Order: sequence, then C-alpha cells, then structure tokens
Amino acid sequence: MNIRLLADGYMKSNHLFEDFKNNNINLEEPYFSDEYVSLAKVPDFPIYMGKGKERYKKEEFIKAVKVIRTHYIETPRDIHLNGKFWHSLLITSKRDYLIEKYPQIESEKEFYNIILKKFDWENYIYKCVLAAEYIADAELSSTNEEEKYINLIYDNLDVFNYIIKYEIFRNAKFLINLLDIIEEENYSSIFKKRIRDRSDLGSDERYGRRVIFELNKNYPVILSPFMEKDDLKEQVKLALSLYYNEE
Amino acid sequence: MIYKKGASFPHPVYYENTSSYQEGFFEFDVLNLSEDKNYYIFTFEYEIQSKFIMDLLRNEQAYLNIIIQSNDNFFSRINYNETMIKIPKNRLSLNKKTEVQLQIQSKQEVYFSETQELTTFYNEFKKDIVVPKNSLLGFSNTVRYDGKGNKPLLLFEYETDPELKSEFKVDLRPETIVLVFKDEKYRMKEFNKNLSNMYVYAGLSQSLIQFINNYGKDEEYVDLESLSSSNLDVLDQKLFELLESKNVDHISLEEIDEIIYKITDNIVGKYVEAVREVNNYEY
Repeated sequence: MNIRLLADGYMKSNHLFEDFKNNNINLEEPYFSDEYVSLAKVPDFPIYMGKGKERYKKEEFIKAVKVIRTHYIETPRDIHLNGKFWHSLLITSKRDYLIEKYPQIESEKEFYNIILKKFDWENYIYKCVLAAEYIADAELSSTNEEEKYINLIYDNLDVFNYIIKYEIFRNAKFLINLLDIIEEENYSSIFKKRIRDRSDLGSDERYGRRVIFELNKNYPVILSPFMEKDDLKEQVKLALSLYYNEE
Repeated sequence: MIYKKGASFPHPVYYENTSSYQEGFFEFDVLNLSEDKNYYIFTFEYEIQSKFIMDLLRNEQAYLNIIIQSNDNFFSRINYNETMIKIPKNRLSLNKKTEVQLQIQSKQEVYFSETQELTTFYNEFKKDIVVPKNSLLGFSNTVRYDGKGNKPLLLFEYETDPELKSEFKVDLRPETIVLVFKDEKYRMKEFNKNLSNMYVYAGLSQSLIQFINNYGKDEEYVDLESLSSSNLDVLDQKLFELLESKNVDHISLEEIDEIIYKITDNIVGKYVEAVREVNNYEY
C-alpha cells in the first residue's frame, strides 16, 4: 500500500483540519507532497491512551505495541521514527477508524492533540514504536515473554516515559535490564511513589524518575547505558538510596 | 551520548590534547559510508598513540564502543581491530545530522601505577587511582555525516505553531534558527520587517549562547581561531562563518550583545526606527 506523505509545513496548514473533519482530504492539495512510502500492511491500532480506565488503557497499549511490532518496525527508521509518516498514515488512511474510536477529534484542539500530535516522548505512537523496537531487539524467547515485557513497560510507564526522554537511555538493552531489575527487586510501586520529604525537588517527583535522573547525571563518568544487568543493579540501588530509605 | 567535553572526571581520561596524559592522540575517521538494501555500512579507522590504552584493549581489559548519534543513539561494542560495522536501516536513520564517535570503556578495574604516560601532576598519587569497571577511559573526536543538508545559506526560518505554550519561541534546529510564533499576528508581517528584529535578536542571542556552550571551555569563552570549522554542526558552521566574516575572533557570554552588534547592521537602531515609523503613520 502506498501512503502519500504530507508536505513540509503541514502542521501550519489552515485547511488540513477542516478537510479532515469534512471528509475532504484531497491528495492534490498543497499540504501533500509528491513523495510516498510503500508498506505491505498497515493495520489499525490504538494511537491514544490518554483517557479511560486503567485496564482499558493498558489493553490499548498492549494492542498497539503488538501491532506495531509485527507490522511497522521492520521498515527503515526514516519511516517508522518519522512523525510525518505517522501523521500522513492517519490522515490518508485511518479516518473512519479514528473518528469512530476518538470522536472528540471533531474539535480542532483534540485533532491536534491526538492525531497530529508532535512526534516525541509525549506522543503515544512514539512511545509504542520505541517499546516495540526494544521488545523486538531484546530477542526474547517467545511471544509470551514479549507480552510479559510489554506488560512490564505499561506497569512502569512513568519510568519508561522518563527513560525515553533521555537519549542516552533509548536502547533495548538498558530498558530490558532496568525492567528486569524493577521486577527482581520489587521496585515497581516504589518507583511510582511521590517523594514527599524533599521540598527542594518540587511537588511531583517520583523515586523512579530520580533514579533515571541520577544515572543520567553520572554519564559518562559511569557508563550505565553500556552496563550488564548486575552492574546496573548496583547503580540503581545507589541512586535510589539517595532518596529512599526503607523504614 | 556522544561526549565532547574533557573536564570533570575523577580519573584520567584519554582524548585529543587531554591534560591528564603527557600526549593525547585519539584520531577516528569514517572512511566510507555505503548502503545496501537493508544496511548502512560504515568503514572506519582509528589511531591511539597511548600504549597503555592500546594494551588495555588488546588484553580485553577495556572495550571499544562505537556510538552513532542521529535521530537517536545507536551504540555497539566492537573489536579493537574492527574496521567496519553494518547497521540495519530499521534501527538507524541518517537523514538528520549524524555524528559518530569511539569510546573506551573499562571492563574491569583499571590501575595507573605502572604507566609512565600520565602527566607529572599524577606522579604522587597515581598508584592510588582505581578506576571502577564500566567507566569511560577515553573518547575520540566526533565525525560528522551531513545527511541531506539542503539549507546552506539560510540562517533564520519562521514558523507558526498554535500549540506553542508561549507567544514566541526560539527553536534552535540543526541547520537553522527557527523563530516560532503562536499566531501569525505576532510576526507583524504587515509592517516594516525590522519590527521582527527583536525576535532575530533573541534568536541570535540563544544560538550564540549554545555555540559557546558547545565549544567553550570552562571560562565560557570561545577562541574562534582555534576552532576547526569541519567539526561544527551545520547551524554552528553558519554562525562561525558569519562571525569570521565580521572579523570577530572570540566570543564570550559576557559579550553577547557586543557580538550581536558587530555581526548585524544596527539591529536595535533599525528596530527603533521602524517603531517610530509605525507611530508616525497616519491612518
């Protein structure tokens, strides 16, 4: 299937939203370029998990990661890590699916918040694409193993969001190591907890985020992205101990 | 992940002109970048003049890592006598400015007591230095692959973004300074273009600060004569050329405004003229 790509400057277009809303998306319009991308299959998947019950959001996340892992991440990164590609896909090929699933995109604000959202760590497709890549790169032994790690990512989404913010940690090995450490040491609920006794850190810091912060601060004196799991575990414990004391 | 500075390590680190070793020479060059259907293929060579460091690599007491930074970071351990690496295209994108570097990582604890290569500063206490495993022991220069650099002369670009969290924002991109407005009206395009000078001033100011942060030593100062323009980002290269063309030979944080004055043409004066003109205009 050929996906026509939006032209540079599409985010500024005054007509894109209106045309999408009125089902008038036209490939001849100036918001499209002449370029296109070919993919074998482009199945639907959830693109937004910002609202709803936890259980529902988790199911959507797992569904998205699985579909992306199977059908989208073997393409060149020029494609699957390119916001313009995803926006083009959604605009040209997913209108019916999106309008049904996210009726709020009738509003321009929600359209830009959900469909044409900037492609960075706050974008759900971005999060799921990275998660899918890392799961695939980890070369786990079975789809059950893969599902286990997708669950672990979702159960530790706050820390995952923080990891993907820092470029030095955006790799499969570091993520899988960290998830293993969180599981082995039962850190999941501690990492999510708000830090209450450190007014110098502001009102919404979490233990997990601060662990990642400390690891990032020590780079490159201590090369945590390149470490084996046991060495990394020591560093994680050290970082956590700066903030958390078991009472 | 690419590391460029040299200071603030608790142990000696080996890199070009390091002050910890008597001689620092760690030269890395990418000889060729080619591709087949599924892979990018980098061919490279490097030279390290430190026998101490090379022995660590040969004896497998240290690892050699290659780091490729583009849209994201790709890194891989390589054998010390490696000359080629193949990276799948589904994990590496080269469209943006790409940088490549070699780093040396300790595999186990490293001791300096036997080496004579450190500077005399370390004579007394080098026997006490223990570098833990997984520490950075050295890093090479950064090699840049330009990707599709197609905006050679343009320094400023303008964009509108209704989602902006402020009325105006300076966005320093790899090739240009982008002045972003929440609404077209803030650009004041219908008036004298010199009214935009205040935005240009902000853009220049921030990009020069970034320039100093990228290349300045701890004194927050850059001596342009000692800078090699081939190692610069595309935007920094444009700034460098602009500064050179106006005979600016050094920049510092303290002198940002003087520098902007030197490299522009009465940017403030023209702004003020434009405001007076608008004020005098009879509707």
